[in-house]
Amino acid sequence: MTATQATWHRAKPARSGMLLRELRRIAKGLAFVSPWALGFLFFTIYPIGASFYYSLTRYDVLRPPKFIGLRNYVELFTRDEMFVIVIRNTLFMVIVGVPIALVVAFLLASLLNNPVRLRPVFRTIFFIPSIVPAVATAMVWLWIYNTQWGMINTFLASQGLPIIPFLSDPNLAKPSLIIINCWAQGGSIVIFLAALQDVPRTLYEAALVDGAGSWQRFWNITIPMCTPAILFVLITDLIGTFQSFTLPWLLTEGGPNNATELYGLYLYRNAFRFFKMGYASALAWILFLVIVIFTILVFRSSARWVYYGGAIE
Amino acid sequence: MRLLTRRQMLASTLASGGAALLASCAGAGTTAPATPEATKPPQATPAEQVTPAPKQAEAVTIQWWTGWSSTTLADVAAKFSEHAPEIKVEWLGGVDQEKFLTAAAGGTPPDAATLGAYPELFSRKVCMPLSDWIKASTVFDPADVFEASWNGAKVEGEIYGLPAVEGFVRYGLCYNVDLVKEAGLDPESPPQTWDEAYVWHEKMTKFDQAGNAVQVGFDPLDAMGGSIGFGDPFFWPKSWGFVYYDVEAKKFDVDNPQMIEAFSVIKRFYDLVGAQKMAAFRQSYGTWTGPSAGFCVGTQAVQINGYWTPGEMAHVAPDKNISYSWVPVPEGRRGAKVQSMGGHYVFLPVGSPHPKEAFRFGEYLMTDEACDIIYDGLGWLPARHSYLAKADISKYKGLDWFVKSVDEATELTEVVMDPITQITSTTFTKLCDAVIYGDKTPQEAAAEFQATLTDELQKMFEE
Repeated sequence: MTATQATWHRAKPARSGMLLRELRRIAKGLAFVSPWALGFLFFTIYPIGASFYYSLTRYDVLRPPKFIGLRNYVELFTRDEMFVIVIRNTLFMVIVGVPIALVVAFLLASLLNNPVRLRPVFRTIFFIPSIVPAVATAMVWLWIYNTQWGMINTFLASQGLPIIPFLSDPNLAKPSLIIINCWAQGGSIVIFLAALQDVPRTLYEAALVDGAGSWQRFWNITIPMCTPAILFVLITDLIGTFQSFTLPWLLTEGGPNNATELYGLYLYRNAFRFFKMGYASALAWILFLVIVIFTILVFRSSARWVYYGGAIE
Repeated sequence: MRLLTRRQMLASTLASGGAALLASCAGAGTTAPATPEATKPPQATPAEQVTPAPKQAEAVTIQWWTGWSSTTLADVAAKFSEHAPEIKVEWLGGVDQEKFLTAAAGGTPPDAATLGAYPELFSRKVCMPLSDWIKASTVFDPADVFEASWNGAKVEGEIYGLPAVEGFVRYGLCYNVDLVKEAGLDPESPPQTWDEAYVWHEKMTKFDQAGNAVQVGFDPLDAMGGSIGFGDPFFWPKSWGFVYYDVEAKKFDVDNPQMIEAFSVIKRFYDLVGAQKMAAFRQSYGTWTGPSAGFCVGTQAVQINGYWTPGEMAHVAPDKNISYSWVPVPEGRRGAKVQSMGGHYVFLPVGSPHPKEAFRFGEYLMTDEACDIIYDGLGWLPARHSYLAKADISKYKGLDWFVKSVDEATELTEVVMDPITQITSTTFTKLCDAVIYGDKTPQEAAAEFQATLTDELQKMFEE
């Protein structure tokens, strides 16, 4: 027996014992994560896979699905006029509504970051809308926008002025929803506040020494230093707006004249009202791809405008 | 006592979790057709004849799901169990379509249900056929039920639902007598045609100095004028006297001069107020007979609504003086008295765990005792001749008009078995919007209506 062989023979029991221990540890680990892993597998991965399969079928939920290949997708892109309207409405909400809401949230956070009296009270007031249930929010805004006795229109009527049909004018309905969205930006405000408080004071002091005015400090220090938070809020708002459902459903049900028929509403109608779960699944997959594309675009663009203070070049 | 080690505990947890998962998977899948055993007529037990049976060791529990959430329905379920202690009815109210569809798809439907989308469910044959059981029933006489109500549950000659709980007539021109008088109109001569109705609309619509609508004469799309499905027929084809869907030929007919005229009439009524102002008015007050609805608070004079209106007005707006008449028809059909049955059904989804017991409960809902509980609690009437003859209809002012209308109508029809009713409803609503807002002409709307429904129907029957 050579020296090497002897070493190998001596080492073998030790290594196999180690392997066994390692396997046991892995098994234990897997057992402990199994509730989550199984849940993820059965309640996330399986439905995702199933929805893709259903998107290739004619499926009314009540009878077995029938495989039709890509016909749902073809129909969506070639024959469904409502799909075009829905895409247009949703893109309007994303492209116009998200930046406005983001700017409003950032400006409010900047105001709340100033050492004003009763600052905690103001912060609470601005945060409350974001924790109000969507149904309550809808009820409040239905009252505010009400043409007969809403507070805005009551005032206008008392002055002998024409009322503003916020939710019944197709041109005003979407902007009216955007205003509500701006009102409920408490979550984003909190994130921006955290980012604002993280901006090093030394940068402002240096800028002051260099003679920078308040606007220059805001534009050249505050905003760049908050861009990681802006990126985060932008992406989450973007995804949330693409999937928007509750408020438009409760406030307008897609009207007037399809002005607020957003993607989520159309998907829901197809799935649960029209018994077209296969078609709705195809809609869901297209929405998923659109969100992925938008997210990638934002991420790719972020290299140009997001500044990570601690990043190593 | 020997304690479990952590490993044993983990193993047993995983094993039981896996078993539960497998068990839940086993229950899933498309609902199976009823077994021959299940389709045999059950031993019917008329509530009136029931001798309380000796309490068995374990009663069968059946689930009854309804869209409504009124506890009167729990009362009627409890009353049934008093007569049949071997069957306990668990009532679940406020069930929406999503919940029912999810349960049906998962293979766990309730034993019985009374939920809206009857034509869709019946025409897809996902409910148990009941004709044999109905024929064999000793609890109620099928001939006592309006033929039109049976027709609303019939597909290819087979009946899929019991017309129970609520199922009487849908149409009446409901008008506020005081507002009519105030406008200098004669409440004794209500409009018979759409042109006459427009005159009423014009005279009773008021604006403030800034041009805002403060009172609307007649919103033709309010209540039953705009409701399709969930037990309600499609009003506009009935007013114009045509059948919009041919069940035998499986064909829609909505691109015709009558439908075009109907769209034009709707637009004319809305144009008087202004599309946006009318929409704003509807949003502000709400529609139907809700507590703040224009019709109830006296800012809307006329609406088309069903037999429940007298009861609801008595509760919501007892101070309002409401009268009832025939719904308007086009000039060419002057004199036509249009009425339609509609309403709800108790059906047994395929896969119902206890169909015989569920049917017995359905039979009970057809009895006078159950109808009394429902009428007293909710003011709803069934589609039964004998009950209408004995019910105290003087309880609500104006209800007698609806009861008499069944005999006086020149056209008494039923809900059409349109297998895509909710698509029909949504498409109609959206096309009305498009016409009202001037995006489409009535001709374009009718053509699109026809194309959409034909296309969707073809997909539905595609096998």
